[in-house]
Amino acid sequence: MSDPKRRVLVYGNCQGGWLAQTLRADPAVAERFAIVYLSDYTERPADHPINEPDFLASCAAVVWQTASTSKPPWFLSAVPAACRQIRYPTLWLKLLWPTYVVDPRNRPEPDFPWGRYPYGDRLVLKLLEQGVSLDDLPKRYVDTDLNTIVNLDRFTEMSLAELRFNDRQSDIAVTPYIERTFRQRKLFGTVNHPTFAILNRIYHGVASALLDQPVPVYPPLPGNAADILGSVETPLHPQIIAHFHLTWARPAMRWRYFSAFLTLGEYLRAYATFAPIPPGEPPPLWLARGRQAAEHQDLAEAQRILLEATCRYPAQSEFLHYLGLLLGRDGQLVEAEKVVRYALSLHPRVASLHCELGRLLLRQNFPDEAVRLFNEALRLDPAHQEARRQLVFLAGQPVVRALNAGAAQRSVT
Amino acid sequence: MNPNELLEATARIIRETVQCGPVAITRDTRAMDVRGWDSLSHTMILMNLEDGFGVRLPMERVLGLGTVGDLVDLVAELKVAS
Repeated sequence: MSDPKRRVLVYGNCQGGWLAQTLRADPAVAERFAIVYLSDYTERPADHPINEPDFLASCAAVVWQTASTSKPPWFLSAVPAACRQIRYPTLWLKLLWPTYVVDPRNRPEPDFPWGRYPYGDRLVLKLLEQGVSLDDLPKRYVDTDLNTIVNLDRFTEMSLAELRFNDRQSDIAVTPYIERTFRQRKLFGTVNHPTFAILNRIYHGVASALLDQPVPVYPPLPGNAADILGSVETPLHPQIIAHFHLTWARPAMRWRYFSAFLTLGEYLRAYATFAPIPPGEPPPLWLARGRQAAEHQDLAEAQRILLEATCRYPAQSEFLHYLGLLLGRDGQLVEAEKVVRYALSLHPRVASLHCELGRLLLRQNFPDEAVRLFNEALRLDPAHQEARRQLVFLAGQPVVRALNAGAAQRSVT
Repeated sequence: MNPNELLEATARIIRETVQCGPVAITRDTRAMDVRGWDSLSHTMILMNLEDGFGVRLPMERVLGLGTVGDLVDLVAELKVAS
């Protein structure tokens, strides 16, 4: 029996790839449509279903990406009139990275298909050209008045005008959301790599159009829900953080760059020397990102990062452990308990999880259960100091003394 | 500034902005023909054209343009108007 589902072609850059993946993961969409992604990186790819004679005629809809600077898709004239077209804008936010330039040194390499530093910086290049030493570079970079490089107000005006233009070429508008939100929330990790927060707007618009009804605001989460597209973030210039009063960014914060988590200064030195930073996303990177989000009081972001890390590294217990700790610190004791119990179901031999659960139960006035968990932690790891400290502390508490006495009596009888 | 001089000045601004080296830029050149002239650096080129020629480019018109020649014509028109 042939598949009764109609096909939907999703065309665009990596944002289109994410959109296709997210639509496939949505049961309501997947039940009715088979989503086919076509990248705009290659014109007429040889090994794609679009080469089938009746492919476009078999599509219920073509979802394609617009941009002020790009042409419509090469196949558009062949789309039958009966096939619905849904246009979505290319997402970028130039105004936060006014010094962006394609670095002439950047070239594709086997480990770096987009080059080591796909997001160049004209100010760094200018300082290097002036002979500024590597040691002096970060300070000179931060101290240079950005308005001597680019008129920030006019650049912002032009960037927003372009975004609005893109919206008008599309069936889904994102610029009002961007303008309203970019100061309070990280919407982009680089000039053209959005976060889930804004990609979700595109998903929501496209899925609602496909299904002819509004869909829930939060889609089923695909693998990169807590992340930016791509593997790198471009650190923001501190003057940009100040100019736009960004509340989510701080000059001293760290930024993900492939497998590293770098301060602005570390990033600038690495970029200036074009040092290769190994690709990959090791668990410590995810934990560090979760910790930074927590330090910035962004528990929701920390939670997203830690849950995403758990999905990627199910053998690692520390993500759920840390999430339980954060929720507990936030006073969400029941939620914290759920998280740690879940972690224990996956990692029953991790002493620190038993100890963490014990601490949470103690705060909820279940000392007998807490004592049992601290003892279990010590059995698994006799050197576990926190479990021992808790037991020593509890030994002085009347209710625990009574419990201990009861236990001793039961063991005698 | 005659049309050829305007074209050459525009080409120089584009080359300097995208740091592409001494590539040939003609009236028919499109962004995709010049290394470094991507959609992201396009805004910076427009700003540098504004600074270089002392004009203010209306975004509604400039975003629909296809070739360097289109840009040069728009700059020429704006310069005459000013």
